[in-house]
Amino acid sequence: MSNKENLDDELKGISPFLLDLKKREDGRKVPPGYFDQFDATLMQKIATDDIKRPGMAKQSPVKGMWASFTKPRLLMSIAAAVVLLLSAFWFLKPTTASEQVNPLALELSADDVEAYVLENIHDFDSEQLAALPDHESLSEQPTQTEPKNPKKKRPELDLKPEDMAPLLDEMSDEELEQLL
Amino acid sequence: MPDEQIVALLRSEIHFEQGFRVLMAQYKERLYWQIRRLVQNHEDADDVLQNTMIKIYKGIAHFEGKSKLFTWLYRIATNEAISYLQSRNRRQAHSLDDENNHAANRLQADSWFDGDAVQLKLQEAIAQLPEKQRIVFNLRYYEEMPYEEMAGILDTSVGALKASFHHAAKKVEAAFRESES
Repeated sequence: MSNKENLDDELKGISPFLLDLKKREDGRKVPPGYFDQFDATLMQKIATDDIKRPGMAKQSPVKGMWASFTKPRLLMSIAAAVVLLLSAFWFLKPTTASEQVNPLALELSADDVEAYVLENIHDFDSEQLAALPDHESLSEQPTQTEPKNPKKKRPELDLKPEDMAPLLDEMSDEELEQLL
Repeated sequence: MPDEQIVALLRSEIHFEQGFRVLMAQYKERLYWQIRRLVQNHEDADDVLQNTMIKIYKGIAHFEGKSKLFTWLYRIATNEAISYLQSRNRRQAHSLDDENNHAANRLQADSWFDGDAVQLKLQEAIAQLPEKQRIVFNLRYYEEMPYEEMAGILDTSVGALKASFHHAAKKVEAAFRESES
């Protein structure tokens, strides 16, 4: 039995009057072409109002993560973070003793230092002379002004206070006078 | 096209729009008339139908297939029409059950209604029904909807719906006859 027949039977029992009325037109109309144009009107509204439908398929977590990694903004952020970390590592890493550079040695060669000290030896007291870096350590430092020359060995200038007396004893008066 | 195929199209990224157009082609008229009988005039029905379709467009991802597609669509349309009536009545400061005082005027003012005096009286009588009875009456009397489907839309038992329609039909006839006397 169809829905209509079902309803008609039901109405016959409840209200035959309403069954009769049902056969008449209810008087409601729609503008001509309304249903034909409705789809286009609605799709236009959806486009104009930029109405978005939510995503249909759920992304797997791995796929979602990969998709987020391929976003340009995230990639740029990651690149910037890597550069910052590398810079921080480079500038903040602890330097070893061998990497420490004597600022004096950067400017002057071992020969320059030695010549200066010998020329101005009267300006130094014995403690200052003892504190001066020895020739070897100066020679080990790379210098900006003089290329390394391993063949050219210089006499050591390792003057300690206790070494000063015998050194002076060994010097002749003339040498000492010339030095002074 | 069967509902299952429409749903399959709607679940596909590529075929979504095609599926939505099929859905509109298949259901827009039935949804329109359901809405029109609740809100009375064409302009309001058009607004509500558009809102309904947009809700369907945006919400089809939430359709889990537990009920029939048709049931889900009718529920959205009915809720949308009721919300529209409530907001319209709030604006005009009268209750939803007081709709009968305004339904006849609204119907007469609608340029897309050309019913005779008998139809106008019938609509006035239907408008006097409480909101839920009016929905049940319209779905059964005009849409000829089986009670089982109606139960899915209105979340009410078949027995309660049959009783509701019975009472509604009696009230409508009584109100009609009263207006004639």
